[in-house]
Formats: sequence, structure tokens, C-alpha cells
Amino acid sequence: MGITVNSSISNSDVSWKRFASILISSFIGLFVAGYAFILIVDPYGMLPISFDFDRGPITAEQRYFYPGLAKKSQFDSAIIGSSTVRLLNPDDLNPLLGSKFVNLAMNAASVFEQEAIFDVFLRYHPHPKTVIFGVDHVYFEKNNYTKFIGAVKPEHFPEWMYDENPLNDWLPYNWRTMQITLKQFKIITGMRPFKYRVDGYEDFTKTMFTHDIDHIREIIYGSKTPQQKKPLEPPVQATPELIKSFEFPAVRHLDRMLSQLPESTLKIVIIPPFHIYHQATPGSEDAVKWKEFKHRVANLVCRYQNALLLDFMIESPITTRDENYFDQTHYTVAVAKEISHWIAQEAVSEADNPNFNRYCNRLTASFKR
Amino acid sequence: MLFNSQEFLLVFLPLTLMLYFAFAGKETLRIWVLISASLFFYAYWDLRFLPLLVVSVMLNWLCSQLHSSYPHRSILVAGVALNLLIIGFFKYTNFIIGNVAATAGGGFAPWNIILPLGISFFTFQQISYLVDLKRGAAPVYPFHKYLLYVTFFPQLIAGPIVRHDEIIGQYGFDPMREGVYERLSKGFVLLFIGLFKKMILADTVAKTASFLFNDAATGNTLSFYGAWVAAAAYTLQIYYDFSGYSDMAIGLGSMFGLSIPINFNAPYLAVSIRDFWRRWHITLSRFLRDYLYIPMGGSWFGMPRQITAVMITMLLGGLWHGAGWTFVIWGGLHGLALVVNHIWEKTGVSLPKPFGWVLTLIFVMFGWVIFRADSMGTAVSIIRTMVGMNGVSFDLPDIMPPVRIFYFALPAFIGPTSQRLVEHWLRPRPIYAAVVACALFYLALKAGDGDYSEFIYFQF
Repeated sequence: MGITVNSSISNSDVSWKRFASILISSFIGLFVAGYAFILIVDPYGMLPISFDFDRGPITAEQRYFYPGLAKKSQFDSAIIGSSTVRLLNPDDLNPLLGSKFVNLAMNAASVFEQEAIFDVFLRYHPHPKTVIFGVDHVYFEKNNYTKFIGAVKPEHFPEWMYDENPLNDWLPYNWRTMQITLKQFKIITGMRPFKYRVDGYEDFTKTMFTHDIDHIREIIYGSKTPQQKKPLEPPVQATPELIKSFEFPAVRHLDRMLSQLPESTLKIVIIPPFHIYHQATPGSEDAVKWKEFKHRVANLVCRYQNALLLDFMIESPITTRDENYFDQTHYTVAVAKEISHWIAQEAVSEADNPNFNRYCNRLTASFKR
Repeated sequence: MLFNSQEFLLVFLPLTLMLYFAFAGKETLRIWVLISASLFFYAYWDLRFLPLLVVSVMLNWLCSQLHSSYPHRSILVAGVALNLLIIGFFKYTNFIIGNVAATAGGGFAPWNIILPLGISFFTFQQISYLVDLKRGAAPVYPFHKYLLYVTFFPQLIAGPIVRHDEIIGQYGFDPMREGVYERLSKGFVLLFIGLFKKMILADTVAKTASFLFNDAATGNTLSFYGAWVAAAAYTLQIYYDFSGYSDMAIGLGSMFGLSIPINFNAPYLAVSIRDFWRRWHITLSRFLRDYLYIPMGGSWFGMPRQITAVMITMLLGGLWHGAGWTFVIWGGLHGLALVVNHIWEKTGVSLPKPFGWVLTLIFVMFGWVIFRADSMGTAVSIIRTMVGMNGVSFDLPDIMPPVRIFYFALPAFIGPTSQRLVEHWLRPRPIYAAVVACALFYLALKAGDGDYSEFIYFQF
């Protein structure tokens, strides 16, 4: 049989009573103290009532710590998008645009997630100076307009951190939260340096691999030898029926975000540069579709004051050099710097640069006075 | 609800304990508290399962009532047949029709039959009761006591398989009787040990086992080393998983003042296959012995009859684990090993114990490969690799290093059993209580991480 009890020793009963009392009371004490610790530290800085500690990002899970960054008053500008604008560095953009950027672009972010983090940013910064939107294939693909895309699952996205309901802002009480709280506690007390930058920027390429051109070409072309795409002959005709059949449901959400911004906010929409080999084949239906997509986004952006649409998804010195990429759609840190330069060139510089059109198409009216 | 979930540990268990002890002095009330909690516990997974459980209990109890008024064996035979029909329908319909169809050369799209949790366990408990009634070895119990006997949540889903005469009598004992704090304390310690085995040991080695078995299931041939690591990892996983569950069940029973029989006694220290079955899933072995092997004649009618009894018992025991040929073959192999063991014992020659231990352990590991594999094809592939028929290569994918598996194996081979630890080693010292409280606190938080897995024996 299982448990047996020696009932003849009454002293033993007293000892076991003490044992049970210590066990149960210690457990309850630890349990209460543990949650109090989490609430006081508030590791993500997202609780309705929270001490004003100097918190830092303590995890690589962007979806958990970006809402806390989006709240910070030290920023007046934001970058919204997916991984295709994640390498835009606030350190590059801040001096060029005279803003204080936080990069809130998240890997594999759906439009729903982009809108959610935008809403948090706007809630705490009703008059942002500049907002840069990366409008890429996530907006283009009709099938991508789902709540989450790729490997992202609902449990990866803490919706309660993004909504306006303070009643659901209770942190889950588990070991993961406790570990993150301990890390945040160490950061707050100076026992641990900040591992991640507080402006959301992270060079996620540095730990990926060595920039070996053969390896890059394997990824881009499927072989070490560069390939060229042949235009489709005869080209697909852009008939009104075909054009009408294209649907870009996610673009409505870009419209909603732009409409939330005050007129004074500089709104920069960029179409990030994919490698030329992974852009639509000239003459294909996809090429017609991309053209129409850009046209519709341009029409939309045109309706807003202080808004600019810059298209980097063209054949350019950026997109034709294999060295500029580490896969089909993600460019290097050096290219990100270049893109920042061209954004500033078009948005704030008074002088024209004759090379601009080689790198980028401005699809909306110029600001240049 | 899983024992290793926060809902169970932080809400269900404390509330049930508080209610139970609030009504400790009122027998009927406290029994109904446990019944209500148990039915809620069962329905929490899927409400659709609840009616089957309740109806099954009611029918079996009605059989016992009817038998007490009209003591005719046909009533009990019908009751046993009904139980077999229910488990047969839910568990074996697709298996039987699929095999018949395959033999006839036709195809068969399996029916969408949901297997109710714990059906193998609660059906066996009820069959054992009806058989004992037929033998005149069981009284007729009041409905609420019989209902609790079948549904008591600690052992409802995955055992231990409890006999009516070892638990129902305890329902009358006052939970506040002398030793209440000792039972509560030991219950908590066993709960902690079970959680530790499941969440830290079983779930960790499970990653290695799953990775390698899944790899083999896709048609890849594991390396010699990889195949042995897979077998070792699963050998540890199934032991920690199931014995961890049993520890928790026994611990929970103890908290409610009820003693549940042990299910494991250091099975990997067995020095023969007979010894193994005296130590592994003890309550199932006991059931198979008392309700299958002995009624078929046991060892009383000569060797041929005994061999037949052993083989049938073990084949059915294998099939009990699941509707698949891998389980049947696993049971059959253990049956054969038991037969060989019996014959060997008749020769009077005894093996040196270390040799017997190694032989038994290796046989058990090969058996687990068949038990775990998704098909006989995968099992044969891994076993061929283990015996060197695919060459001897020491490549291993980037998974848990074997040295860590060695550390994980230590508790199973040199550690004391949970019962021994609690009964003989545990002393009511405050420091131990504080350590267990801290460990339980950690595991309760870890249970909230959401990456826990179900217990292996839930599928049976």
C-alpha cells in the first residue's frame, strides 16, 4: 500500500503538524511575495499602475517588450513594419531627420501586429514628429491578411499589452515571467547592463552567419552562379478586368494608420528593396500586380498632408548587387544606412541629388520647395 | 486537467482539499465533495466524456444491485461483457475493422471515434469488481461509495488500478484521525517528487526521444549511437512519466487520507523479466495475474497450459495499452521472455545477478523501442541499427548530449524509490519542509509556462 502512518508516536504528530504548516505557509508566502515582486518590478512596464523605473528591453521577444518601448516619452518618431525595415537604425535617422526614433518593426509582423504596435505608440505620442512605414509583401499578399503570419502563433503575441483595457493587464504568473522580472530587476538596480538597445534597434544579421557571397547566392539563386530573369514574352496585358481582380485588403489598414496621424506628422511610406531576382518577372502577371499595388498605395498616400511614398523595389544599384543581401528580401546594415540617407534626401534635404532616381522612385509629390 | 498544470495545482487542489476537510466529520458529505471534484476534473477535458463515465458506473452498480437481489451469474457475465463491449467499441473498432478490411484486401477510412480518457483504467476497475462479486469476494456497496471508487480523480485517468477492497473501506475513516499532518506532508512531498519526475526528468529526455523517433519515422536511418540514445531516452521517459504520475496519485490520495497502492518499485533494477513485471506497473500486473492468468489455469495444470496462459495474458496486456500491432508484439515479446524465464527457472541454473540485470534491461529497452515506434517498420529499422546491422557509426544530431542522459538515468538506477524516500528517509524537519515548499513553488510557476506535455499513459 501507499502511505503508511505510524500512529503510536504523538510527538511525531506534533512534528508533522509543524512540517505541514511550514510547507504550506512557505508555499503561500513565496507565492504571494513572488507575484508582488513581479507587480512591483513590472518587467514590461505595461501595468496600469507602475513605478517609473528605468527599464530596459530584457528579452529578444520583440512582441513582449516593444509595447513598453512604444510608451516611452523619450521618442517622438517611430518605424513600423516587419523585418524588411528592422535594420533602419535610429542612430542614422535621428541626425538626418532631426527626430528621436524608436524602431518598432517586428520580425514576421502581420499588418494586424503592425497596427497594434502603431496604436500603442500613438496612444502615448499623439503628435509624433515622423512615422516611417515599411510596406512590403505583407501588405501585397492577399492571403497574408491574417492575424498572424508565418511561424507566429497567438501565444507569441500578448494582445493584452496592446489593447486599451487595463483590467486584463495582469502578468501571467509563471516561471518565464519570473525570470524576466529577475533580469529587469537586475537592470533597474544596475546589476546587469542593458543587452538590447532601448530604441528597439537590433542588428539581427550579426549572429546569423558570415557574409559569404557563395552562400548568399545559394540562397538567392539556388546556385553559386548568378542568374538572370528573362522578361516574359509576350507580356501579360494589364486589362481592366485583370486590374480589377487584384485585392489588397491590408492596404485599408495603412489608410487607417495614416488617417490617425496629425497633419504635422511627417509620414514616410517606403517599399523596401527586394533583391532583383525576387522581384516580379517583367511582363508577368505579378509585375502587373505589383505595379497596381504601388499605384493604389500612392493614391492613398497622396491624400495625406506631409506624406511621402518612396519605392525602393526597383532595379537599382542596391537590388542588383548580391553583396547587398543576406537573403532574397533582407538587405544588409550598409544598405539600411543608404536607405536612411535617401529617405532623408527626399524628406528634408533642400538640394536635389542627381543620383536619387537610380536608387528610388518617389511615387508622390515632392516636398522640396 | 493535468496534475502539472496551474489550474490543478493552484485552484482545483487547494479548493478541493479545503472543502473536503471542511466536511471531514461528515462522511457522506465529504464523499460527495470528492465525487463532485472528480467529475469536474474529468469533464474539464471534454464534457462529452462525462456521460459515458457516469452511465458506465451506474450500469455496473445496477448489475451489483441486481445480483444481490437475484444472485445469478449471468447478470455479472452480462456486466463484464458490457464493459468489454464499451472499451472494445471506443478503443478497438477501427483497429479490428481496419485489419479485417486489410486482410480482405479492401480499404477502410477509420471512423471518428474519440477515445474517452482513462477508459482502460476505469473499465478494468469495474470488471475486477464484478468478477469479485461473482467469486463471492465482494460486498455490494452504496452508490456514492462505488461512484467514488471508480471516479476518484487522483487515479481516474491513469491508475494505479485500485481494487475495491483496498480503498472503499477507507472512505469511512475520518480524514482528521491521528496522522493527518503526516499524511498531508507526505502527500505534498510525493506530489513534488512526481512533478519533478514528470516536468524536469521525463519532459526533458522526451525531447531527445521524440526527435530521434520522429526522425526514424520519416524513413531516416539513425546512427548506431543515435538508436541507442533513442532507446535509452525513451526508457527513461516512460519510467519517469508514468511513475511520476503514480507518485502524484498516491500523494494526492494521502492528502485526502486514502492509501493508494504503489505502482512502481525500481523496475530498472530488475534482475529477470519476472522480476521486472513485479516492479513495473504493479497494479496492472496484479490485475492481469488475478483476472486473466490465474483463471486460465496459471501454473497449476502443467507447462503447456501455463505457457498458453502467459502468452494470452501478455498479448492482451499489450493490446490493453493501445490498438496497434506494435503494442501486441511488445506484449507478445514480454510473454515469450516470461515463458523463457519460467523454463530457465525450472532448470535450477541461476544467472549471476549483474548478468541478469544487464540482460533484462537490454531486453526491456528493445521492447520500449517497439512500444514507442509509430510502426513496426520504424521499430525494426531502429532495432537493426541497435544491433549493428546498419553499421556502427557514432554520429549524433545536435540534441541532448548522452552524458546528460546518463545523469538523468541516475535516479532510476541508484536513487531510492519515491515510497522509500518518503517512508524511510523523510523526517519532519522544518528545513525539509521549506525546501519542498520552494521546489513546489518553482514547479507551480513552471507549470504556467505552457510547454508541458500530457502523460504517456493518458492515451491508454
